[in-house]
Amino acid sequence: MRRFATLLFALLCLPATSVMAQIEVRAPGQQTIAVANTELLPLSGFPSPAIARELHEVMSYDLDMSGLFRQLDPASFLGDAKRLGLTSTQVDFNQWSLLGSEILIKGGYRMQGDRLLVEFRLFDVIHRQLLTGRSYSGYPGDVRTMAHKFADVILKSVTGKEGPFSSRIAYIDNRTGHKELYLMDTDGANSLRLTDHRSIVLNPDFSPNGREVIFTSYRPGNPDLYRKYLGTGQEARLSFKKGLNISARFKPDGREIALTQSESGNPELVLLGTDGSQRRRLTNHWGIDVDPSWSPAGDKLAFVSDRQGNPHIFVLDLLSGQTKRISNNGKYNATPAWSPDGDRIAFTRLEGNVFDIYTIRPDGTDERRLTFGPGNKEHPRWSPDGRFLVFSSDQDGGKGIYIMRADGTGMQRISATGGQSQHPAWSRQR
Amino acid sequence: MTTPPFPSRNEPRLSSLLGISLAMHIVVFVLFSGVLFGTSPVERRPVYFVDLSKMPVLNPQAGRPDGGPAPKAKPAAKPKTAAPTPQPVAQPASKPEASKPKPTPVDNKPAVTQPTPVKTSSKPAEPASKPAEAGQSVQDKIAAMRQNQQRQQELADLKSKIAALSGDDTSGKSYGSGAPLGMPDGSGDEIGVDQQTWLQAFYKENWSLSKYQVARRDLQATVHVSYSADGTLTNYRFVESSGDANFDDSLKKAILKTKVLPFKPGRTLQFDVVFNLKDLMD
Repeated sequence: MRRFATLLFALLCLPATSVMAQIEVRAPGQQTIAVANTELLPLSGFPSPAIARELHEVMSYDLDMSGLFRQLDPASFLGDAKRLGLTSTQVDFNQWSLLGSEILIKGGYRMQGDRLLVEFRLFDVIHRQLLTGRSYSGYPGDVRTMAHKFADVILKSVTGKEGPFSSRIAYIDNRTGHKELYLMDTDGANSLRLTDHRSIVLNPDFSPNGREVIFTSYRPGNPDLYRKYLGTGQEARLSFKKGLNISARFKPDGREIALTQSESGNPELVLLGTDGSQRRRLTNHWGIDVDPSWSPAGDKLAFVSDRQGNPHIFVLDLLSGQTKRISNNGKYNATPAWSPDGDRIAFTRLEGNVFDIYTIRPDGTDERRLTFGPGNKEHPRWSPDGRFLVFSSDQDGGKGIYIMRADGTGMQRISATGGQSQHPAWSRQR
Repeated sequence: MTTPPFPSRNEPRLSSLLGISLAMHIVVFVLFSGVLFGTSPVERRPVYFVDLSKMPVLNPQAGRPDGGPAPKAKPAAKPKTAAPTPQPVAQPASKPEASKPKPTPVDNKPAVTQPTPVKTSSKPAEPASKPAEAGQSVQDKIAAMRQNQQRQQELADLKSKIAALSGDDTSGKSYGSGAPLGMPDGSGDEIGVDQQTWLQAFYKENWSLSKYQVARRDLQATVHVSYSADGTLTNYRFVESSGDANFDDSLKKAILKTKVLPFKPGRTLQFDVVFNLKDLMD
């Protein structure tokens, strides 16, 4: 009887319990963010279409390169695009909503004497609010930097991680007839030669604060390690041991430098102080050990060694001294570069006489090939945010510097034609 | 004379033989299990099924979500007999009931029958066009009506062909095994599956998230949404958060984009929407 009563009670309760439907959505329908990138308007005074156009073009390039956004056609913009609106109350969000825009970039500029003032604003169209804004002051020649900086801010606002567009890329180019060190923006603009060694310069690397570059130069006849201060242009020779002093890399904390020296006859990894003082020998093996790359924590080094026959990628744990091979495929793997997040190592592999770029986890699993097609892709280096890889390639004939997203998409040449460009390195800060 | 005792042979004992056999089996098992050799993990790629014939619609007709069994060739053939459909187009001018006699007594090509009435109608039109514009406009209207009818007819033909291909009967008359594609409680006039699937597609379309915004692929969040009878969002709350701010924010935007349904449900709707990235392509 008691059972029956319980059952009856349960049955009575059933209708009161509303049956909830559940809908599962397994992927976003739109995998890019619709952005309206308007051309900036004059805050006061005479309009300067050239400035507005350049700001717009640089911003547009950066947004495209990020892979995050889908830019709306400016031809479809309605009246609000022609109105200066720097606060959320001044923006007609209905218009942008109608166009399907999710975020909106607006702003203005003003010349004050020879100074240029630029105001950028980023709005969330759906929530109808200001997301972020920046005011930049500089000279008209700084227009591209201002746009790059705000593109970085946009990426920070949308993803939580700042973009790399305002950083710089060092590379080697032979357009003068000698391999010299150059510097350029991440889109290839503002290329600037840094050295005049009239010899062979190789393997640049930025200090973590972005103020110094170390590189190898054959100027004295021997491949010695140099340091250059970008602010003053001063140069100093850091390592000039007999034999090789190559492929030097700053430790992430900037206090030490790992490089390959061959004073003893066999190329080994060595640790230096930033003043060039010898700290300690990291490897001691009959095989060739070259191309060190630091883990973000600075406790491990990826490097290339032929100690097991062919060149492969190894990881050296600096605390335990243990070495582990992580590349198990291919017969020629080289130039490892540890990602800033620490989760992957990029490297190149020679197969069929062509180098291509791969990534792999530091434990040797989940190897992925990123590049395909004709031409070599060599010397990969990560952007400071880990979103992009910069590398050199001869796929279009002469060697040039290219960038692509970390998943291998969006490959673009950024270096100018006319020289053979190679050995890129991406600065961590501008 | 006694036979010498059988020389004792140095044979292994049964227990040791069994032990060796067991050990050998274990060795074989271990070798084939791949424990000793590192196995490279095989990355499983998802398989995607896209059903182009059973699309979700807002107001599904009465029927079955699976569209009933498809195999019968007859339902596919019957719509073909309805191919004389062009005739009704030609007939309204002369006889609306001419469908009873065999559809195409004049010609075996139904398409050719249509131009003929047009020609006949164009004959008087030519002289009429000169004297007055009014006559021409009437002519145009008639032509437009005919074109419209023809289009409708072509559409009906296409629908019947699609239904024939998918094994569905769009007539809405037959039930049971040949039930039309729709929902059992459907009262609309659209061929397709249920409202819930439609809502799923609606949410998906309004959800924007780039793969570059999230670091992980195993994110999932559940949002409880409520709509009033007129299709307005009355409330939403996160039943389960993903823990990723970018992911959750994208869901809020998706919900806000869908704050007004493009139809009036006629009753309050409450359901949970589970958002995840199971089908996000790398």
